[in-house]
Amino acid sequence: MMDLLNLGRSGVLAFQRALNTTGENVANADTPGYVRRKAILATQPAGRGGPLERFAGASGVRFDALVRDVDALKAHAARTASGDQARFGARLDWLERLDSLNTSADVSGRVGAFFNAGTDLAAAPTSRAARTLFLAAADDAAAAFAGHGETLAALDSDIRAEAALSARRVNDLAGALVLVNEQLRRGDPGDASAAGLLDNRDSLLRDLAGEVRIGITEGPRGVVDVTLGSGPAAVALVPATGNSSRIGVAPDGLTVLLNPEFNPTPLRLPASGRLAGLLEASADIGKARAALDNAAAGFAGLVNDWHGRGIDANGAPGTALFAVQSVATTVGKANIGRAPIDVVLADGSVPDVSGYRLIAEAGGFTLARGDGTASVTGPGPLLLDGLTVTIGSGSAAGDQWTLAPLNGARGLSLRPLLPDQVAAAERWQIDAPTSNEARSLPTIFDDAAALALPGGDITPPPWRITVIAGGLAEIRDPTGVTLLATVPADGSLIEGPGLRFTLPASSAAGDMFRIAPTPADSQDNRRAIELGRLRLQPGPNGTIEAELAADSAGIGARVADTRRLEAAAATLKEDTARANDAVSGVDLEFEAAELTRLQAAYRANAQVLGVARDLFDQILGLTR
Amino acid sequence: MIPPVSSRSGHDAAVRRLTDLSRQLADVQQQISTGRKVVKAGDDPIAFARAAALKRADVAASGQRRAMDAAQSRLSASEVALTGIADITARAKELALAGRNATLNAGDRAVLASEVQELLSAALGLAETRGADGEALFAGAGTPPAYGTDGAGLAAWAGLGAPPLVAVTGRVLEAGITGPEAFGETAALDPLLPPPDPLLPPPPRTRNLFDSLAHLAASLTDPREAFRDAGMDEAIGAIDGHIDRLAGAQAVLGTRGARLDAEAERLDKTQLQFKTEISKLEDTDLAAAIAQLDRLGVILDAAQASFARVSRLSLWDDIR
Repeated sequence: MMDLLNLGRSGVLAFQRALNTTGENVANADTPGYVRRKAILATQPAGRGGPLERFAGASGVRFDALVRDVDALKAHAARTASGDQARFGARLDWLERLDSLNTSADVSGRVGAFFNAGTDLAAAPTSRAARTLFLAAADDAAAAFAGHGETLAALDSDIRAEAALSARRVNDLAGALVLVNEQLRRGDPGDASAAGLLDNRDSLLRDLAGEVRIGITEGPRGVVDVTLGSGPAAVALVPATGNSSRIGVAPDGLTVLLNPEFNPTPLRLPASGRLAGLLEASADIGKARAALDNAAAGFAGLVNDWHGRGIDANGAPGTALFAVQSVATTVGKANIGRAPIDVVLADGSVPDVSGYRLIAEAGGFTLARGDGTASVTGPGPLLLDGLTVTIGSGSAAGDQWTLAPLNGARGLSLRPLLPDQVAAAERWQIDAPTSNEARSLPTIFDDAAALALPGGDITPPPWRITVIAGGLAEIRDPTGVTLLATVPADGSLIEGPGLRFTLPASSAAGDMFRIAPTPADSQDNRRAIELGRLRLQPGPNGTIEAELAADSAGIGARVADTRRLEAAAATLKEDTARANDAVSGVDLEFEAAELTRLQAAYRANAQVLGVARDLFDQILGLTR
Repeated sequence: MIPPVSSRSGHDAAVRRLTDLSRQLADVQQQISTGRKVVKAGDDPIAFARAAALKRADVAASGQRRAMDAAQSRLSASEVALTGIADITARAKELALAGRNATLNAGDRAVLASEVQELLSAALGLAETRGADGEALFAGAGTPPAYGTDGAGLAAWAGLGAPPLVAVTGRVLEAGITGPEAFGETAALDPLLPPPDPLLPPPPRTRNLFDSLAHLAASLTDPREAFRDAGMDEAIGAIDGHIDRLAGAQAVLGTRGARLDAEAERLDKTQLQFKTEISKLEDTDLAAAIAQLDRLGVILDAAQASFARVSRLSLWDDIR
């Protein structure tokens, strides 16, 4: 009798707890990281069958344990897939920004516009308008390089900051896992609070795996030992007991360091997780910057060299078209004041390689070279090495600014040139009377610095060259004074200091040639035509424009590639997450069916109790 | 059998599929509204690189076309000036032949000489023809004027070098012709020769067109018959030479112009080809895009309807 009551009671209690578990599952159906709980019922151990004890044959049921419905392998697969997806997602995100910046900067197109302006200049070498437009196009090309260089530098520093944040997040998560490990070790396995802690642990692990690839070893009571990567060589991040290790990103933005603060050791991370994706994108951005700097240097070198060999509309030799250096100002992190700084680098000045430091003092400012070899002090503006530094009001004593020389794309700018200073003409004009036997003209090259004939005569052209008998020629100045009596007129090279020229082999005695410097306002356009030829001259990676376009396309290819990988990783992540969810997630339909089943069982047990009470009542009735 | 799916992930997956469809719809719509399917290198790197190369070539060809137009106008301006000078030279020859007629008296010859003088100044005027930017067409690389007067009072070429160049595929052409090429040169007198005998006509001398005309005018009015006849004969011969030279110069300019025309026609065809290819690579195929838009819309509608329908089905309705 008592047994039946006890059986009913145990059933009602056990199924009530089971119903509670189902209720909790339903309530948490949409909680991220919640793992479905399963009630495990077990047979009640039988008593000895004494008067107030259960009969040895019937034992009843008890609520044995509350378990989390997990499959460690599936959970691991889901974590890994989610880390892989996070890697490609982060990489894609940043590469798409790079791609879009590259497309909108259109450096290749603006460099092309500069060369096209060169073609227009060749078509109208004496037109002031064509010269002005040429300078405007040159300015735009320089601005394209400098502006894009600046944008990429900002992108680079943004991604480094994000990588540093990601590393910090790894450290924070590892610290939290250490705490969870401790609580797990102290707590009681199999109860509701332990299940909650394990949910907590799993969500920390999932977040951690989203940042870096981790290896997990689960110990007693769910305490975990986490390593960076897997395998015997993997570095311990969270040990089962003790403190976690710390990681950080190296200043180059490409490597991860273990113990960045006191004993930096470079780490090789497996290619998974957001941090890996960020480092990969950072490397790509670095490459894009290097390629742009390279192209800028190549472009400026080519154009400056080209322009320096010409003669401008004033009859003067061409100067460099582009300045290749400027100065970047960094505001000290500890500055109190907010004074604006204006730095101007004079045309043609070269900033010192060691950079400069500007310090605000009580009564003025000090601008010093980075290596301390020179400095100026005063209320400002300060002048040093061609730099003019103007400091606005609002500075506090002790404020500091760093001025660093800028090279590459960011340092490129158009020098302040007047339209007349565009050198569209060649240095020398060579002609000959139509009566000459020779069918070609002399050629002349000089280095524009100093020029002297082989005998040492330094009279510059104009020269009149007359071919005399015996394959020789004599050089005179326009007034008839002989500068050099005999030079070979057979096509062989005639060399003097800073000068090389040849006289055509086909010339005959009596032929005359004239070599004259290009006058001001000349309509000669051979230098401008030469720019068109240089435009098509391939470097190691094709023409400058092709190289720039190829760099853009290369980034585009990387984006497209990453997009495909990301899509694949996202599918895999979804599949593994679904497989894991099928075990650990809450399916409301399933819970509804479970509820119905448990409800029926509960009701049946309640009936058992009722029957036991009826039997009891009848027996008590017999005694009356 | 439908694999068991947790409510959350099942719901998420359905929502993700719907979002994905909406994104595709938005993409297609953007392609239709902008008319372009490749916007960034990441959209299609190969098409982007190819289109970038084609656009570069297309823009460069436009610049090239402008340069060739400028050269062409320079060439035709030179040709027009040469035609005018050729007409003048032909008239000068007529006058010279008329002046060689022994029946003319000194007054008739003076009239002829004054007309030759007029012709000379007209020819010198034409030789100073300027281009669009004020450059002297016959001065080579030099600055205006193309002709000056030397110490002996002769017309001397004041230019130097060669005319500006124009680049066409694979080579450069001179966009014009220099004064000496078109009008000849006056040979300098050898300073070592003894002074001319004043009783004999001077030996013949190579002269440029302008000096020949001046020589003709001077010979026409020379009172000494032997001198006049020798001078007239020399001038008629020289003018014949100049007529030939001018014809040759016009032919040179014509050939260069024809070369530029052919090149321009080729460039136009190439540019058309470039534009067609760029359009093929970058432009949206509207028919296909609209059909795709339609199809995606139908799929999205169906997906939304079936999602709503499926999520309404529930066992919970039956629990009491």
